[in-house]
Amino acid sequence: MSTSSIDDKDITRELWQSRLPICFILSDEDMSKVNRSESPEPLYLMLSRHSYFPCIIEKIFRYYSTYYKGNLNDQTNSINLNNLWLEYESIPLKWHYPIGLLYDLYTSSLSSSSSVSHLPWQIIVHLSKFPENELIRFPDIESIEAHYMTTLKEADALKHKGQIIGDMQKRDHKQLWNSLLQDKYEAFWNINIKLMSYTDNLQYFRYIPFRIYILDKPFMQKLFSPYDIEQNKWMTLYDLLQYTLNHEVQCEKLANEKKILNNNIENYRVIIHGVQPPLHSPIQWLSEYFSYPDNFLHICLIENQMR
Amino acid sequence: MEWKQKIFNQLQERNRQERDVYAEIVKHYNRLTENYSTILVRCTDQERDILTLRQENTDLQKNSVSVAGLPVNDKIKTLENDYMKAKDEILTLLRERGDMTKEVISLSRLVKERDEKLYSEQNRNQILTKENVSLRQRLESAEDQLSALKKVNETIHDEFQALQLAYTQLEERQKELDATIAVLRQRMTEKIEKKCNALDEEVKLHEKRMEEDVKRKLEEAKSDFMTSTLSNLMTSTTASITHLRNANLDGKAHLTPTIDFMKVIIPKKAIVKWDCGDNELHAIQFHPSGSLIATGGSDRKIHIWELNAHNNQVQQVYVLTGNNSTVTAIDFDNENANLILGCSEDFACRVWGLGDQRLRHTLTGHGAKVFCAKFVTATLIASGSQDRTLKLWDLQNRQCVRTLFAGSKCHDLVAHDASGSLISGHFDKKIRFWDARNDSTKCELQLQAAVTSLSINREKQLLLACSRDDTLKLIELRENRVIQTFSHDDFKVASDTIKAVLSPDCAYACAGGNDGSVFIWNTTNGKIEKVLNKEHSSIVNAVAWHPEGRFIASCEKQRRAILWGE
Repeated sequence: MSTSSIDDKDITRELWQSRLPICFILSDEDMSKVNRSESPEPLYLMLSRHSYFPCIIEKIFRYYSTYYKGNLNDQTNSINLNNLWLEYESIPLKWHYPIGLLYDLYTSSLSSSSSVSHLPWQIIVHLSKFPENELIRFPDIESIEAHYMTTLKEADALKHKGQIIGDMQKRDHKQLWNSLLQDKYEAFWNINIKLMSYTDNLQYFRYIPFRIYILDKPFMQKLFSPYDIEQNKWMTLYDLLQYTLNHEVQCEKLANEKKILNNNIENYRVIIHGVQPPLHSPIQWLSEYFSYPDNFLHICLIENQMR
Repeated sequence: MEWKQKIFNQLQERNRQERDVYAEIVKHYNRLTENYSTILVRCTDQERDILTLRQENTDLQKNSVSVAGLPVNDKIKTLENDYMKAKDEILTLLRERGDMTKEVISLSRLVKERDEKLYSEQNRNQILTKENVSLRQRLESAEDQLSALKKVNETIHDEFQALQLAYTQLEERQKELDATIAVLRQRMTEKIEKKCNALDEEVKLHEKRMEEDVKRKLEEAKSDFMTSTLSNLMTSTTASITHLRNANLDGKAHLTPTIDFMKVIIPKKAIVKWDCGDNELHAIQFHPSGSLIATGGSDRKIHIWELNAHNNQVQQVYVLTGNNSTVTAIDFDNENANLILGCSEDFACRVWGLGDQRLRHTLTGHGAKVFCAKFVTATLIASGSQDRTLKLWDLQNRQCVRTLFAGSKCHDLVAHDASGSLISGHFDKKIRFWDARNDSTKCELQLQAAVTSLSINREKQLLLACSRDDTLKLIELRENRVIQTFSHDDFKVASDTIKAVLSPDCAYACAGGNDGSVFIWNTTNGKIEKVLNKEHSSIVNAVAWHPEGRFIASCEKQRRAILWGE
């Protein structure tokens, strides 16, 4: 689809410069174990929406560990990094979701339409009582990088049967991840532009990589082509959602689920990157320019509350 | 693309709400917390410092309590006094320290000077020791040299003394020898005198006897002359004639009566032919008695043959050796007839005794081949050689008494008289007449060709010279004039040493040619009398006439000698 390049670059730049103010507060039971006379102040950080929590976990850890030392000159840490976990409104936060996705999913559903009053996003830092059942412990930075690469390859598999990601060299993969860590827009999009190209003489991706998240449900991912060959028209966001919800309902029915999903799109607010894009936006364009850095469209569906 | 615009607007709105509002606040907040934490750290440090100071303070207060017996003012005064004393002490100590450093500096300077002196002294010492060593070495070497020289001096001294002794001994010996020589000489002269006197007396006796004998015989001969055979006469008279001849040759050149008591005949045929020697024959000569023939040739020996006149046989009697090269000429001495002279190409002449065949003398001195030698007297020999000199030898002293420089090779010579005057024929076509008194030529006679041989008659008036122009010349000696020339068509002179002889009575001249013929000319008319040929096969080198005239002996190059006679 030929679009004016100025607008696209502006949009992607705006996306890249997204920041969320987050306030990390130590939990109460951990607060009591502080080894110092004064209690730690909350930690305020501006984090980018497309980053991941494990990237800044070292920082959080170092900040709180000072309060647990015997004296200020003690170099050893008495708290364990592995026991650290984050929580919002008593929901343990999964570490392999992008930060923006987590915010959109949890804050939007818990309140009314505007999500303004939830800033800064207050997350509670726990240093003990790790919920073994619900979370995997925070990994090191290499595991996060591996997860990111896996997601990227899956996206490219859907789009180009994995050809482009397979042809790219290892240092290009490294450059993608490092520019994501170091917040380098130009370096990232130099490589990412290759992943947005077309193959097999198509003018679009083979399938759109997307995931649809609804609260308390596992995410939905379907095979969806951005272009309808029979009807010879471009698919929109509405078409994608419709198709996915219907397909999911069918699956639930087949599985004899008790509670069936509401597949009326009117009942949902569609949020990507914290904004609600028009439902008639072409899905191909959305996938090219509105994806997360892992090339997936993470779409949140927030049920409209009955007022 | 209004959807895109909508999206963009929404994004901007979102960013504004989420980011812009809180960015600054969060940044400042973080900075405040950092400052707060650093201030906290400093505060805790300072609290700790205060605690320690408080502790020290309490400690000090405790200490000061123990001194609290004195009131505070007195305490202060005592403290002040102590302090002043301490200050004074410090001052004095400082002053002392200053003095000591000065001393230290001066002492160190002294030490340095002493060190330098010591160092220079050591250097001097080293130099002096080196000189000492070298001087000692020189002294040693000088002493060695001195001892060596002393030894050498001693040895030389000893040698000198020994030589001196030897010299004195030799001097004594010499004196003795001189004395003996003088004695011997005296004895010898006495003996010779005696011998001469005896000989003289004998001769005189003999003469007397002979005179009487001769007178008798003359008368007999006159009566028997026509009837008796010649040979008997010859035999009987030759002995007498030899005696007469001997008597005549006593050193005076005088003309004797020309009556010959020999009968010179012209031989007609070869009587005896014999081979003598191994090689070429160069010289042949009759003994004055006529009974011996001597031949010499390139076999370096002189062969003596005895002629038996009765059966006309020739036998070899003995061989004289000693020459080192070809014998060129032979001469018998005419006085005593017991010496034979042979000269050879080994530059020497040799004299043998006939009785004992012993080599008596070897006369060396010529520088080249000796071509001819003749007895002048029994004790004087003249020799001529290729070295263009003539030498006179004294047999008593065995020395060469005179050397005559001729200037040309001397091929033949004859003695003119007993005093030593010679006639010599040379390669340069000249015949030289030498004076006995001085060494120069009295006269020179020029011929047409080189002179190969000379022959003089008994009376010393006629000289026969054979020259290379194939002629013989007869020269009269009073006026030194050629009076006759002999030649023949077949007569060719082949070499430089072809000998020609006069017959004993000078009636005939004989010479050998190169074709083997022997030619006989008549001296009075110059005509050829006889040609004896067909017997010799090569060059006839020399001819000799029997002293009594009966035979001619000729020798040829091919070692054949032939005796020609009646």
